Amino acid sequence: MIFATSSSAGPWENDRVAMRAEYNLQEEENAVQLKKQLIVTVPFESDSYSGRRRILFGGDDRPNYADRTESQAAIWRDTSAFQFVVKLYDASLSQNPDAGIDSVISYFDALLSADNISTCRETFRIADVSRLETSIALSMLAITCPIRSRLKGERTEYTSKLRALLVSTRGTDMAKRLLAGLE
Amino acid sequence: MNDKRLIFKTDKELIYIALSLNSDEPHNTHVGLVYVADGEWYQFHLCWHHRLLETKPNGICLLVSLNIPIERQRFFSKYCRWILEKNREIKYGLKYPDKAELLFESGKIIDYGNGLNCSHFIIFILAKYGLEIVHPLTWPLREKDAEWHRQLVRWMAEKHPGHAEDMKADIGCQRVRPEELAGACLYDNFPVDYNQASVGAKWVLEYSAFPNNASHFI
Repeated sequence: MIFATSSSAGPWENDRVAMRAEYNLQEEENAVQLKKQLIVTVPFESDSYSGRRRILFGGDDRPNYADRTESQAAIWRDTSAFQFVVKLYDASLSQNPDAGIDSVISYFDALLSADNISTCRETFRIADVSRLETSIALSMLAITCPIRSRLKGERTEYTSKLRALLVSTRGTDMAKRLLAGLE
Repeated sequence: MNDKRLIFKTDKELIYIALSLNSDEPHNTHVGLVYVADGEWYQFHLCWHHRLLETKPNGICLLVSLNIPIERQRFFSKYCRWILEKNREIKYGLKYPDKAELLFESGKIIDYGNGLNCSHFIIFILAKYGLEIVHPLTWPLREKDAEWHRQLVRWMAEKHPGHAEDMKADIGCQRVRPEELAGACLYDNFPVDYNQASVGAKWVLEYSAFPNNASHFI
């Protein structure tokens, strides 16, 4: 057999029911944590962003700030990265890596077309490799290969975490093959 | 070298991506990438000047799987479509552009000299994503490649005389032949050198039994 249908599933994928329950809990905790962070760091009021703000902050009413350009940029950066990684977690859990990889490509394509390096770095910072299906996790590295030097520590840190995970779940040799040329 | 990596397109194995080798005309082999999308096979290849295409494979098509894990292969099929979307009008050329870059901000390939040929294109896009199969600048200069270059320039001059003039400067440069790239993919560890690739190329051509004696240049 030339193309063995070797599954990409690692040991962590064995019990999907338990994993989903755990995922939901962790997802909620992370979401709450991120909301808190955003409330503290990005207070603003704006008609154009109010819908998004209500969703994020549960409709609480915060003061209007005269100069909010940076805040707006920050919340867009943070929410887009957050929403993106959640989308990838969903694709991973539903065993739909193709959809996840499509998302990775379109997301980074859009960010980099706008030269939005900071959000790329933020995305690597918040992505939890243990909740990503392997091919999706790898595609984030692959698509950013040409700009790896501009992503600095966040991408390196992400790679280190992914390597450690792959070594523990797939063994050293396979981890090396999976990451070859992407670091 | 792993001959089990050769398959024909009639095989129904689950694959995401493979290197494809065609031969439709005497002495003319052509290489591309083949992937499965929505249950269909597609061939992604640089045919000619400004002709980067995704087509259904036709004719005799030899496939060589790439020695990379399935998880990595999934990405490449998507990546090919992304490249296609951004670079429909790639110049066709002779010399491997060592300084070429894939500009991620626009998805464009830049600084690629007078252009890429079918095998150099595949080498380039795979290398940009961490899969350096061969390094074309280590290839020898061969008179038979120069002959082939001159023929290509003549064909180019029929419709693109200006570009053909530019290409003339590169006649006789190193050329990774399509069958050599396919042969290189038979090895387990990349990048492979010229000696290994040429052994693989002979093996590929014998195995494939292409019509019209495509092994003319070997």
